[in-house]
Amino acid sequence: MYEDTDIQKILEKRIVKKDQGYLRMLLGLIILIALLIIFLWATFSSGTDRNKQFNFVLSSFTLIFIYAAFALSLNLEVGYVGLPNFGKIGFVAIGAYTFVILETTQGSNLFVHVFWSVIATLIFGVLMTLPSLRLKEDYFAIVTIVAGEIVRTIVQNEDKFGGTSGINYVNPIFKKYSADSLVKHIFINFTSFLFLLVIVAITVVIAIFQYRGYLKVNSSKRSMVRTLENADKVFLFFMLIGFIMNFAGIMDDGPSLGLDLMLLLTYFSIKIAKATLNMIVSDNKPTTNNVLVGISPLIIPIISIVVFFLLRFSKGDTVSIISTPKWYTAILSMSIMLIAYEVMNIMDISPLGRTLKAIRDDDTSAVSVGKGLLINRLKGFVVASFVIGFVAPFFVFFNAGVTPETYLPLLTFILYIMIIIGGTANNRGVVFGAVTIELLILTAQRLQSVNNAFIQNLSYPWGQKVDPVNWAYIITGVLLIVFLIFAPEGFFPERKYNNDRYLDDLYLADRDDDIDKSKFLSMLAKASKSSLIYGEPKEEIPSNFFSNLLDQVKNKFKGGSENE
Amino acid sequence: MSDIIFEAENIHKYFGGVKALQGATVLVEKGKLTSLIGPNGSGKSTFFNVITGFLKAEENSGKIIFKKHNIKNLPPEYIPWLGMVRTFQHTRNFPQMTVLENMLVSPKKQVGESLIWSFLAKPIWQREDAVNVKKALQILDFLEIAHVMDHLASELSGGQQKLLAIGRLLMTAPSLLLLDEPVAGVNPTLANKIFDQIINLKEKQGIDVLLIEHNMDVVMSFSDHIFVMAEGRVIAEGDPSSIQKDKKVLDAYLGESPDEA
Repeated sequence: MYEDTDIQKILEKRIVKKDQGYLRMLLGLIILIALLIIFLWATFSSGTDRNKQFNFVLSSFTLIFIYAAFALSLNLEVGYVGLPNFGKIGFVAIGAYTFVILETTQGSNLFVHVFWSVIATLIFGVLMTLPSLRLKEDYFAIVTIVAGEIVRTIVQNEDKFGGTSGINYVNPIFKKYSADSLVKHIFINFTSFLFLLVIVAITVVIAIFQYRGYLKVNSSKRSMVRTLENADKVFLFFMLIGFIMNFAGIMDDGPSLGLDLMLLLTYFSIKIAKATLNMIVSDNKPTTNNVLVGISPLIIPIISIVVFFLLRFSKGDTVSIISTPKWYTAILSMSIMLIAYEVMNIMDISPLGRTLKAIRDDDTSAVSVGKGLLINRLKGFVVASFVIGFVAPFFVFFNAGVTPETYLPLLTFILYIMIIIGGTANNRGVVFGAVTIELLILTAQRLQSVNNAFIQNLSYPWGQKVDPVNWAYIITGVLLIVFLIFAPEGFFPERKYNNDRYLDDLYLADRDDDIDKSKFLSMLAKASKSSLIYGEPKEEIPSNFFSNLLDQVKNKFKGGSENE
Repeated sequence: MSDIIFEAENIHKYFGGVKALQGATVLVEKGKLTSLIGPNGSGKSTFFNVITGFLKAEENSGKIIFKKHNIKNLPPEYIPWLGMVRTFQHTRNFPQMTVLENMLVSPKKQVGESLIWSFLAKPIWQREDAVNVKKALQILDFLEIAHVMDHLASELSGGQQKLLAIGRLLMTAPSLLLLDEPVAGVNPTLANKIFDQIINLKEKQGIDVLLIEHNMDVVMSFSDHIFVMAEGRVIAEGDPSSIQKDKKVLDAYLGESPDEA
């Protein structure tokens, strides 16, 4: 009987394999930092208007984050589900047009209309993919590219949707507050400071409770890492509430840029703390040390609080530079990207993502262990469409409206380049790819008008001037070819040896009483009909939603005819 | 007579003009290792494909009964739910996933596979995963491939891949294993080892096995009951000793003997 064997003995036999390729990631990061420096230099040395320069940087990053969110969603379809969607831009168009049309006809109601944008994209996604999911990759690609083009052609030729000129739309925060009133509130004010304190306190309390729980079964390092992993998600949730409160103007003394920035800083310091812990601390250090290392990056927000309070009392140039309302859109789009990233992260580690990967690897084999192709692929596409529907309205904010030219298929292909160069089926890689490629193109745009004699006079031997934008596209194309031939897995290859995560959680298998003790857990387990409570699933034919529906319809018609 | 767990009666399957199956009838009794042999092109793999739903049976076929369910023309992903799982002639694992992950794909009705609960019930599916990991490790140890659990499935040797394929099936808690050439292309020592494993499964876990095999040595020494197929029909059945003496079987393999014609 294999049930009796001792797990510990099995684990001792293990030959551990680790992911390679850190060097490539490091190279990628160095390239990114170099690009960032060139970008900032090019921006701040072209023209003289500081405000314009700042605005350009901020709107560039808004666009970058939105593209990163799109790329994350596309990555789910290409990298995990394994079906190439070449009509991604059609999905974006559906979400964006739904949002704008509702906003302009029904009056501004941000939250409700974002919700409808999500629903519209979902319906479009399901309707388009349901008949085509059974197709092979290449035929699926043809169907999607056609669907995307149909959407664009319809909105271009229908006057209801604005025709070729599209529909204009102004960001509500720009409408609501004039630039002057924003200047008043840029620094952290009393309400927002209180809010910040409260949510940090809540996060810390939750973290302490979790840390104690983890410490019972784990080493101090592992429990700290686990605690921080959960803490950043808790904080992300509260952070979003903060952003929305700011954006919707719920706080009585107006939106506070300081609050937004502080929230972001705290969020990233939690992330940095986790990374530092993983890298520096060894497993057998005493507990207090780990806690200290864990919370040390919190110094960053504390220092910034002090700086912000000092800035509050300084008047003059600084105020006008950071007074631009574009800060709000940039930060909001960043948080949107973070949400998309967390959603995709769950897809990466959950059993659903695992099943999707299995179907991608070998669909016949997946079917032979009872994983339906259609239903699982549909789940992947539903999540991807959901994210697109959620992000599309923010793309509208950026474009200040919708025009059919924004939704050309070219954007889909740029998203593909981002995924391939960043790393298919690796969410970090996709974000990296999106930032790098978009930064490359934006840098080239800035280099066209930079106040630098060398770059302005740069010309080919035959006398023609060098155009940096052309070169950006040439470099992107060459990069794409080079990567496809020599490194198809990209700068950040897919994580392949992730058994540690499963073995870390192994202790949970022996803690059956957890579910009985905790009300929350037992409620969840009951609601999700987990086999932990109900035992091994029965040997029965699972009910199929679609065939059940068909049967019901059939029965209804049958019953009707019998009654007559 | 012991219980009949699986019954396929008068199965027909045509590919255009080619009649791959012409009324094949196979029974599997509980507690017996049943083998399906026959020359190349006799329709054994087609038979497996039809009974597991990968191919649709023709209209004039009889019924396919597994555990009192009629599974004829049921979608292939539903059949593992009843406890009948199969391997493929060419080993098919998930090459880009680790051995352990390969095993974790199999369990049915995981909470984390549902669209909503994968986001909302993380503590629950983490616990389920932990239980599954424990079971997977024990099965890997049983099949003696636990030491390579961190390798990608594509990095394993041929024999280990075949064992992994069986391991993935065991994770579904099956009651009938359909093995399509489990020791093809495997050296005799490992072949015997794999068969020892299969016998162990049958005796200790109570899992029934129906297998297709060309390696006559192992088939004759391990099987309890043998069906011989030729040209889409079952031409002979019985225990190994009677099959060895059967003249029809020899004819099917070697061609008809001249003195009979």
